[in-house]
Amino acid sequence: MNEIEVLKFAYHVFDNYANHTQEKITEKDKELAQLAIACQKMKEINKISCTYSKNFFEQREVTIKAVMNALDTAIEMGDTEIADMALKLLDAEDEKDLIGTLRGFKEGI
Amino acid sequence: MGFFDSKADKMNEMAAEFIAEGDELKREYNNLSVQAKNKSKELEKKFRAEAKYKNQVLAELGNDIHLSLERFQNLDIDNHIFENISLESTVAANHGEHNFLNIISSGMKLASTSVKMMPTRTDFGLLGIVSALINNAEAEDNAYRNHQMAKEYMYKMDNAVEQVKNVLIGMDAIEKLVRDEHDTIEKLMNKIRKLKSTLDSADKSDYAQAEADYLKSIYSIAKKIQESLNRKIVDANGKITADYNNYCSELKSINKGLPSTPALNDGKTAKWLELIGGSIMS
Repeated sequence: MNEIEVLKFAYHVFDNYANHTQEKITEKDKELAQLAIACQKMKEINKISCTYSKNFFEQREVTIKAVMNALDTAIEMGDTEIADMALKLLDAEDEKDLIGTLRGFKEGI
Repeated sequence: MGFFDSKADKMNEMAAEFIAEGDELKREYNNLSVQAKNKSKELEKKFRAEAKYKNQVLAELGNDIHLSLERFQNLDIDNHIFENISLESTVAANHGEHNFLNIISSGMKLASTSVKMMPTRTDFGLLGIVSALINNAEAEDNAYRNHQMAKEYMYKMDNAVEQVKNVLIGMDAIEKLVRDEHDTIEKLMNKIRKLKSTLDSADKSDYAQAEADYLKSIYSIAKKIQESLNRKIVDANGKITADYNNYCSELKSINKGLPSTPALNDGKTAKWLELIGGSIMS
């Protein structure tokens, strides 16, 4: 076996070896790609969560202000219907589940 | 210079870069983790203060305001015309503070950074071409595995950073919810206190019809606000505590699942062309 043949043989061995390990490598690459996607998804979820949370509190501030104004009017006029509506709106506001929604984003709901 | 060894070297270099980035993310995670831990301590304090405040509010609603409303109801103004609304005692006298202690335990320590081994080069003899080539293939394979392992570490640390950020977003939201709730309760209490004082001053022998109607109405409004406050205080507590506990346990589990810095395997990167050139020439 001359040096060229040795080289050819060695390259053949190398080629077999590379092919043999290719399958394992591809599987790992797939896992890594999935991990990268999960990571990117988590970044997006955090962005959405921040925006949603900010909007939620801004909206809540507006609602609470409206409720309090309505209650003031109700008290001033002695109008129980307005008070009823205002307090129902307040109850509805309390029922909003911000944390549940944020968790829902994370769990993909 | 050589094709194969440079490929392995490149992959090992990239692996080292991934590890460096992963370590940087680990530092960021550590900082965020400390922030989250501090935030949870702050929240515990706020919960305690809020529990005390709510207890005071409930006591005020159950005592002073309840008595005022009851007294007004018993005034029998308007010559027994208006409906006799019984004021049920919905106020629990003693809402104990929640036990928030021991929610967060220790265990925030991260695995220490292990020693990174960069691949070393191997010298080959003239007769060891075949084994050198196989070694070279192994070197590439090792380098690729290093590269993957390092990349996996970086992604996992990146993911851990985002996870703890998510916990912080949640805790911030809980903190704001507590503050909002406190402000709303205080606003409602101010209204009911004013109504109480109006109703307290209504104790006289003669009432004009309009005055009697107005007093009846604001009595009714005061009662509605009182009920709303009771609902608000009693219902909200358990939920917010459960949410808080959820984030705390999440934080602990993220911390527990953190990867440690991987050590690069010995790549045995042979200088391929030098080796081949040397053996053919000689």
